[in-house]
Amino acid sequence: MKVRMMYKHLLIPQRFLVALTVLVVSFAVFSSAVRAADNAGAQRFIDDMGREAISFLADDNLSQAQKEAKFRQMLRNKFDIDTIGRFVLGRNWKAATPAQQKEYLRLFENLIVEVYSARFKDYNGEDFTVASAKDTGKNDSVVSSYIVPASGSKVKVDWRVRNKNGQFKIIDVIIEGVSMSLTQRSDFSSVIQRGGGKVEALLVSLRSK
Amino acid sequence: MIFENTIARAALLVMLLGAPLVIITACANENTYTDPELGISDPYENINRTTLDVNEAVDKAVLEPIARGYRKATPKAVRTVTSNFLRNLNSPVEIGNQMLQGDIEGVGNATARMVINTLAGFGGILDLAEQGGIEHEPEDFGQTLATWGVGNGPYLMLPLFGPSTVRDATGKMVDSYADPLRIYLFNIDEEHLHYTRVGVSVISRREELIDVISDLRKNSFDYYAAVRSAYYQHRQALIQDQAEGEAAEIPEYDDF
Repeated sequence: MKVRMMYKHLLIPQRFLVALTVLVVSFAVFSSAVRAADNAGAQRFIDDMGREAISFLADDNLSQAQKEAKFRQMLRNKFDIDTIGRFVLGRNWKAATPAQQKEYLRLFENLIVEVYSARFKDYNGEDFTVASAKDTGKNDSVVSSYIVPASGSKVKVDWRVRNKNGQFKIIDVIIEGVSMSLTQRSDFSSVIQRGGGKVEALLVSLRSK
Repeated sequence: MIFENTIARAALLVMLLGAPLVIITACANENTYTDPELGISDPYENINRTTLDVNEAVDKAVLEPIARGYRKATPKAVRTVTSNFLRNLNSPVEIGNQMLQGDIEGVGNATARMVINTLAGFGGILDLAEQGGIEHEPEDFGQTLATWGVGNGPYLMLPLFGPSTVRDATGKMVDSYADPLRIYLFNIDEEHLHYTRVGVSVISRREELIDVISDLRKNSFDYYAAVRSAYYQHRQALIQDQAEGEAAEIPEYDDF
């Protein structure tokens, strides 16, 4: 009798549990479907960008200056430079005054356009293949790709892509396991630390670049 | 007798190697640069910076010009063949480390690569295994120690060798000492072949790094800090045998 009562007592929560499980599972399936779509989209985004870059880098009708102009434009469109800039400044962002933050972001944009266009300027017929994409974080995908030279070892490049309301933006580039943003963050934080902990020390360096 | 047991032997090795790490770490001064995210501890920053200055001077005066000369004088195919051959010579060390890490699949891949490339790839000058989909996975004793749970220890800028940590420098010593090919060449009194191999390796490696290093020199304000960060990240990626990037978490900022 006592046992049956306990069993009866369990019935409702059990039904509830089943319902909960169904809910959780269907939600998981649904959200993973959404995720998959995100990753596929991010992968396509990087693939398209690679194609676009190669099409004008390999175009002999364009002058070096024209190529560079196109490349800068592409960087501004495809990279979320403000997010990168803020991440790179790390906890020093909060220590900076609004005026410093504003100046920093402006200088950082110039720097990143210079740095990346210098990297891609040496284009020499390399092939670009996108291998896979997986999700990481809330709205981010990591798209893995390879830059394959005519001969010699290929270079693994991962792109961290953020889906901002359906718009894809690159927020980090990871070459052979080395994140450009993290490396730059270490660099900047050391400049600030050695400059007496003042954000101004970094701004001085940025202005002189 | 106990030490015939591999695990006991491994444990002893960890204790022997771990003890100095603990002592050195305990001596670290208070104002150490640390980066919890990357796990960097750099108590000898001042000495390290001086060493880097010296390394840079030597590199710019000697090593880099040689590497650039090598790049200019040889077609890409020759350099690829050279680097394949050198990599294949290192196979026994890599297989050994895969074993010590208990990575069965890694042992299989590295062994298959050595056999295929040595026999069908003309002594290792062609990397046929990679073309067949067996990728090279760099392994060394520093990584093995890491998989056994040994931490990096303090960051070290080694004279001539460049960035390292106490753990990785220890690993490098063990690797070169235990290298079967080195032992063999020493036994047959052909030491000069071993030193030739080391010399060519250094030039070949420096040539591969020409663009990476000049890029980092040009695009960083504090080259020392940038090298240190890149070194830790690269080693972390190798230790995790990273098939996919495990990048830094970047928050979503919405208060611009």
